[in-house]
Amino acid sequence: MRWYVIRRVAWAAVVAFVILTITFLFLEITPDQQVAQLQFQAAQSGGDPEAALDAYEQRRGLNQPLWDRYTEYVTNYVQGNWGWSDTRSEPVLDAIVASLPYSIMYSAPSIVISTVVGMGIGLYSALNQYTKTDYAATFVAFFGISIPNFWFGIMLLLIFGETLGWFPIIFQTSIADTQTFSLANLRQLFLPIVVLSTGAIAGNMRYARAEALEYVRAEFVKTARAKGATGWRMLSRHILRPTLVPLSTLLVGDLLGLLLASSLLVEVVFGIPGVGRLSYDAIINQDTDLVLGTVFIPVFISVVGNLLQDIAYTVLDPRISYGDR
Amino acid sequence: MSDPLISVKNLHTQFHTDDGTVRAVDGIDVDVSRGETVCIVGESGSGKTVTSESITKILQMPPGDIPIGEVQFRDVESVRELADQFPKRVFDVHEDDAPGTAGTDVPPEEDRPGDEKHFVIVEERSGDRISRGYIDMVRAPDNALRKIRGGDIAHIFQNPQSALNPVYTVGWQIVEAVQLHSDDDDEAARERAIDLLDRVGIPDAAARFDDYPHEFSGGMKQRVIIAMALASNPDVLIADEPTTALDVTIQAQILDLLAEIQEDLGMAILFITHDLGVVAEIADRVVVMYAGKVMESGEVFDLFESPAHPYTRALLECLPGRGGDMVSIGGSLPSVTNPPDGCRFAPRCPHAVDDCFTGDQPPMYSVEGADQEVSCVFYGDGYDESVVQTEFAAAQNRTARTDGGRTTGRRAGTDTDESVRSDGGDR
Ligand code: SF4
Repeated sequence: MRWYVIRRVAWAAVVAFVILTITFLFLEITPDQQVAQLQFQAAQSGGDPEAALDAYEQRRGLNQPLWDRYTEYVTNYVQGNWGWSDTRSEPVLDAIVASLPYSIMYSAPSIVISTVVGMGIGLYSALNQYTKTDYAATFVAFFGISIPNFWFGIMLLLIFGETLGWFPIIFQTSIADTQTFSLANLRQLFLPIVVLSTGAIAGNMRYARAEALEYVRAEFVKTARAKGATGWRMLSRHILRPTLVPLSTLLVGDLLGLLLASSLLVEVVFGIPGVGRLSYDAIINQDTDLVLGTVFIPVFISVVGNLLQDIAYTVLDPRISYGDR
Repeated sequence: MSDPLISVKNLHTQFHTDDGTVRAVDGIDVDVSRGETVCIVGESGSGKTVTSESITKILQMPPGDIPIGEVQFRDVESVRELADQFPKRVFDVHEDDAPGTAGTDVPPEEDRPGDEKHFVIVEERSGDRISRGYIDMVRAPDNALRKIRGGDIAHIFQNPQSALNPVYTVGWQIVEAVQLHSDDDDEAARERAIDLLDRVGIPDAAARFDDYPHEFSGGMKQRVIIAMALASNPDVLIADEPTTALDVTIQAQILDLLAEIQEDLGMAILFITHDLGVVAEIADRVVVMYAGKVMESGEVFDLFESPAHPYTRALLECLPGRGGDMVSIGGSLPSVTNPPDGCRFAPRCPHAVDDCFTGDQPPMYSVEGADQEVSCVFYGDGYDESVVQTEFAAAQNRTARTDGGRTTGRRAGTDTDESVRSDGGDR
């Protein structure tokens, strides 16, 4: 078991390394906007574009051999030196660390809510297949999946913020900073949490329902019934426990990915200065280092998520041996 | 004389699906007495598995449903116990003389004693104690059945690969079965489980206690499942094709094991199979099912020696090594959603006459001089039963030759020699 975990961790490191390398190569072959601009400026003011380019490359260390630049780039990343954000005039890592709490404030509750509620409804649905509640739940899931998040967010803002005035329209950083665990903060986070949860609840629900259904019909559930198991024992031991195996895949990795992807939209719509917003602004302002930094966050979370998921899998399913993967 | 331990009476099990109601079991009677082995034989789709799963209601309900019929379980101890546990749901045949059921020991079909809420039926008391009665499993609620399932009536299944829960050790699963029906603490239950594993021939049982099902071979898994079924010394073991998924040598071992255990524990076995070879080996009595109905039932020797029903004949002629030509019955099972009138076997029966296509399935007629009952019009008044007591293949042949042009809605009988000569490979 321990060896298995060590191997998985090593593998995750390799994946991260490969991702870093690929990004580096992409950066290499992408024409640098700033160079073009500098050269243009130099040419306009009568200077030598070539000299400007040299100066620029000198400053950025771009005149060194490719290999040296590559090793430096990787070392920097590993050491936490993720570059300089031109637009925010601070190190990329500082910018990310500053915005991360705002993202966590609404995404953590969303993850918890969507997992608990989504799986709860899904399992209930599976156990009461073809009843009215099951149909209702399936319909809600369909709705939740089909509805575009940004549109849903705007609609909620219009109805509950603008028309009814139940929730603030503008996210106030001061409230979030000073009274993180207050009702006021919850109020301004409420709509984003709802928006983010609906999609995730629906996804979880559908998945949990499908998985549990498979186990409700399983042969070994019949064996358990023939043994005399009923009620809660039947449900928890013989249906839920095996269902956890496939569900664990959904839980860790994919859920995080899903939330991070939709967080960009949610943060833009609700004006929350989190990582999604940071990334969005960086892209708009062509702040390359910052874009890279914010893109690496979800990438690394997925890598770690996948790692956790694999470990969860082996813990939950005895059929997977640690040796052969 | 003694009552059968399990009496299935006029059982109807249906499944409600989008394509209509599937009448998987459509009014059958089966009796199982203490200590005997009863085999239900039939092709897949005949309703034999559904019958076996209706007895303790382990089939999925819904979509399954038992609108008509009774499954009587006559174990006096269980009756007493459940009568104490559910006093409001006891029906005493003699006390509450309901019109129509008064004084009858066995209630007529459709007219069961008591009403829907009564499932403990008391027929006789000696003093205060119940001395005769039964539990109607069809009406019994889950919390009453949980005691009987696994406790008095145990099941083993066709596919050992999927009948064990993959995420628990076999030890855990047997201990669960033990503890569901006893007050054993963990230590005692563990010991009992190891004994059981040992009993069913798992080598080095104590060491394998903590292994997971995937670490066992198919035959060994089936042994584990048998051990689990024996956890509380059941009166009846319902075995649904327990050897079909195993290879031949393992099959024989499992059959031997079952016979051995039966002798030790004196339990009854209700054995579901499509394999007449297995039937010949283990059965005391045989019930032949076809399309949700019983075609013929009787003592195994009588039935094999002189099969009364054309379908039974056909099945026996399909058996390899019985001399004569191999035969294929031809045609296929009738629709169970919308079964045809008359005898279910009529579309494939070479002897079918007009009476076979009208009314309901013929009643069960006793066969003279044998411990046998058969559902075929030729055993009724005004018919000569010797007509159907001829070789099925020959009859099929004859019909095909002389009768080729007639269309009475029977497709199979008119098949050409080809199907008659084929090697029965569609089993
Ligand atoms: S002769 Fe008629 S009743 Fe008898 S088996 Fe054939 S079809 Fe059925």
